[in-house]
Amino acid sequence: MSQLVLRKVRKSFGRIDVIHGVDLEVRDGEFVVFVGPSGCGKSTLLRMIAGLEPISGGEIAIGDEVVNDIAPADRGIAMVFQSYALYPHKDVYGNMAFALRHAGEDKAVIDKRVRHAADILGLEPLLKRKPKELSGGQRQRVAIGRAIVRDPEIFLFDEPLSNLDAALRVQMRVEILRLHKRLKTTMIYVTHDQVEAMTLADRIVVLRDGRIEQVGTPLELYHHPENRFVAGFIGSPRMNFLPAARDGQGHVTAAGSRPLDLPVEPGSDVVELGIRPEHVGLCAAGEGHLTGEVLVAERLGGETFLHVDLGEPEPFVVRADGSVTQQSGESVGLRLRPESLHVFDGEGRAHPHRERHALIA
Amino acid sequence: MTQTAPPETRRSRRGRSRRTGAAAGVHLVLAGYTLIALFPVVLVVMNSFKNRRGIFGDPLGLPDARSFSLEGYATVLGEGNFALYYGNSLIVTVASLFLILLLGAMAAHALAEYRFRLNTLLGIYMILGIMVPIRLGTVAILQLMVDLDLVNTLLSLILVYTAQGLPIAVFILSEFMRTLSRDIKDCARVDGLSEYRIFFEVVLPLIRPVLATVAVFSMIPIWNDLWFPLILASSDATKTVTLGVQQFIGQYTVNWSAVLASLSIAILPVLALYAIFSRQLIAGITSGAVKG
Amino acid sequence: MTDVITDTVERRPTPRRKRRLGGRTHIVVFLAPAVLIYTVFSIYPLIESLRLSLFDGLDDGSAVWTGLGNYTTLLSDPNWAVRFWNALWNNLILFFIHMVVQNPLGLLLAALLSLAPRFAGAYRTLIFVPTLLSVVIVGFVWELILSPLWGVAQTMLGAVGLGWLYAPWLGLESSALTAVSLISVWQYVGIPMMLIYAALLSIPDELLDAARVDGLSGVAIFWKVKLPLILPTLGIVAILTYIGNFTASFDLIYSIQGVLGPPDYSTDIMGTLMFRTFFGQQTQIGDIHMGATVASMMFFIILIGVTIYLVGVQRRLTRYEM
Ligand SMILES: Nc1ncnc2c1ncn2[C@@H]1O[C@H](COP(=O)(O)OP(=O)(O)OP(=O)(O)O)[C@@H](O)[C@H]1O
Ligand SMILES: [Mg+2]
Repeated sequence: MSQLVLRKVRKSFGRIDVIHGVDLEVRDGEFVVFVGPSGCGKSTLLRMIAGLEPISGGEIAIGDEVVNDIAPADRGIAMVFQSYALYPHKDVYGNMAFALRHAGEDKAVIDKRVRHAADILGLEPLLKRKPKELSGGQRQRVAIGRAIVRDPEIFLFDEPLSNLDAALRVQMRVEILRLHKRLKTTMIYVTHDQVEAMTLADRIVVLRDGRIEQVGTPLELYHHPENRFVAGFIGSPRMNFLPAARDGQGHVTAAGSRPLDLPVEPGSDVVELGIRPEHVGLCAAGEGHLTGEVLVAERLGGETFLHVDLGEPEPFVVRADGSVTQQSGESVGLRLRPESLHVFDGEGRAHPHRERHALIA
Repeated sequence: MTQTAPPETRRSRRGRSRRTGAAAGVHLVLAGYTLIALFPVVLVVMNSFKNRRGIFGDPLGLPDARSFSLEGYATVLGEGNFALYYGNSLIVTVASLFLILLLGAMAAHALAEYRFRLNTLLGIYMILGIMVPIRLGTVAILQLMVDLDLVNTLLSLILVYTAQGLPIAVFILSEFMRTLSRDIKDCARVDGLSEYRIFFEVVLPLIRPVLATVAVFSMIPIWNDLWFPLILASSDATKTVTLGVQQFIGQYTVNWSAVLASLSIAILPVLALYAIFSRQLIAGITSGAVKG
Repeated sequence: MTDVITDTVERRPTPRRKRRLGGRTHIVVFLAPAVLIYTVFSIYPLIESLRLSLFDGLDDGSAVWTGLGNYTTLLSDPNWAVRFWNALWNNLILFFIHMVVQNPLGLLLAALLSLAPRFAGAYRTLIFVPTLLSVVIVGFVWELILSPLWGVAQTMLGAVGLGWLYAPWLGLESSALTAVSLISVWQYVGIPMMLIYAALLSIPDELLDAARVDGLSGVAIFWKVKLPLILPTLGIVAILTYIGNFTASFDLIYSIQGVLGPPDYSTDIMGTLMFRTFFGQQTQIGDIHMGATVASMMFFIILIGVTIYLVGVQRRLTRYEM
């Protein structure tokens, strides 16, 4: 059953179109993450689902009900904001109880639900504190607790962790994941951090300029990006792109490389080849498919990123083992794995080829 | 600003003595001007506690056993109606401030929070009044008050002062409200608060410090105004302190102790309030100034 | 979102009806009271004054259109023009004295305060006292102090050997306007001081540290770093002085000198002229239309000043991000 359905949803601010007709179905209990570059409309889309931003066109349904005209408080959603948005003049308990008190809920019920949420998040010792007496992580936990208390059908998160430092972000990420396992409620989560997206999501929605580029599980997006944008956006370090061409036999050659055995559908033009840094093997110069000079070797201990000059404007990045010894200035050979290669046409669409990696289902 | 101490060098001794010299100079100027600022006030208050001979014989001396007298105050309290005038000033100032802050904050909230077609235009319209003194419309204001039958009422003053104070209030408050986090208001919406309750329960508590600044800015000109009380509400029942003192002194020019006492009566409460609130007031002015 | 509850077909069983999105009435409710009061008691009277200035009153109380007739009268009729130009001139002198005495003094005091000497808070608080007092009170206080009858000023000058300097300044045509201006400076210097002080405080410490590392002395830092950064504030101070000059000074002159600007109109300014024209004084009977004309002239003069400020000054004074 679909919990949330967006049909041809559009949004314009004055004359500027920000969301250009988005279609999406979210299943009950699913954890969906919206990612995309800054300004692509993630927050706007989320706020439209919440009812904070009126919809310029299309339809949004929660449960089976079209909610286009229904006030946020009655949509069965709860929202967690990037800046926490705690009421500074109320203590933690007051913040968590606020919505229910406002709805005229019974005192005992409120108390039970606040304590239950506080228990889940380990907030009991903090209930009497004011927001300004809390650390960033604690504040965010209160913000989440406040959402739990409302017992919503859908949780909406807008970059809830981006104000936290790196270590805390990892910890809270795990906590949100555990929360989802425990509550099994539908969650929609906006972030521009792809590690968050990959680790949290059942499905990821990649947005660009107000359009959905691709929807899929994290591994689908990683292994089978449908276009160059998604391919470049998911994965870190970024995928390498090389100009490429197709020879008479339907085999592909990247600039400066030996022919690769990659039969693609006849008729499709091929302009670019994409390969992730982790799918490149090192070998002696002159061997493998490509040869280039190491510009920089970034040694992180466990692994080493080699930036290799192949004569393209951007260096080609290779993710190698921490033990490799190549220095900058040295020549290295690169071996590409055919099953991990991505082939793109002039419009940036990915083309399936025979060798392409089969998804681990 | 903090002066960082220079490292000890050969020049340090000379530097230090020059620095003490400079510090003394700074204090000389500041203390000197402070004296100039306070002297007239102190002089008047001091002499108001003397009899006629004391006032003229030794104006610069403190009241002593021979010169001490409260005759001036006796006259003022007997003849003048200062309790009433104070009450009037208080009513006018408090009511005007209340309206300026409430209505100004409401308008500023609408301008800062909502998108609607006339937003920018209305914003400019509302702050025009900062540049154009309301007094220039006095002729028409008086006619209007006559038509509304509001001449010689405190309400006429309250309405005029509210109109006078709104532009700067809307300007400062809307500038500040634009800096408030949108999330907290949205959160309240998700929690089911109406737009009105969001204003009163979420926004107002957040802008309290700026409200204080605006209150200070608006209060001084209202309390001290002579023009509008003179023109709109000069009847005995509606006189403000400023007008009351002005007219009282006009009648008692020869009775110096009464004049001095009436001036003191007008000054002292203001000074007392200032002593209590000067910290907030100064903080308010400086913070408001940084914004504006 | 509004509180309007409408009957919608419920497809999900919920305990209560759902509130609908979309009402915009709250925007009107928030704006209407302020816009209304401001329009009725500030903008309308201003426009009405401009309108009245285009009419002439008849004896039977009706009014007849004269176009710019009143302005011609004000600017060229011998009886009116003398008073008008005199008042305008006096206003400009008043403004000039404030610009050369009050604002530099305010700058000096603010600069000294910003060095954070001991007792800076106390100095600041005390120097601001006169600003709080009613102009009326300030006027009387100084009138008494300068009065030859009481002789305080005389005695004090005598004590430092300057007794010969004393004159009843407020009563002399040559010095009355200057004396009144200086009283006003005494009262209001706290405002530029505060504004400039706040601007100086908002200059980041790192910038001053950087200047010190670059080898600038304290004085050089003031002239080359701080002053350029507070120029916009000095611009605001100047325009506030200009506007205040046409409004606030009335109270002071009215309470010290009365409405005729004595001696011999030497302290007559636009405010007193407008008051007199409107309400009449002694031999002269009040004239709404000429009063409105004087007010409108003030409006245009202020408008010219504000325009010069906005176009000529403010745009050139770059506001640096700090
Ligand atoms: N109130 C508004 N008025 C006009 N344009 C707006 C408004 N809010 C957002 N936009 C525009 O809509 C686009 C999408 O904004 P949105 O905040 O949804 O981006 P985002 O994907 O959340 O970005 P970020 O990652 O930076 O938060 C942007 O181009 C933004 O400029
Ligand atoms: Mg966003």
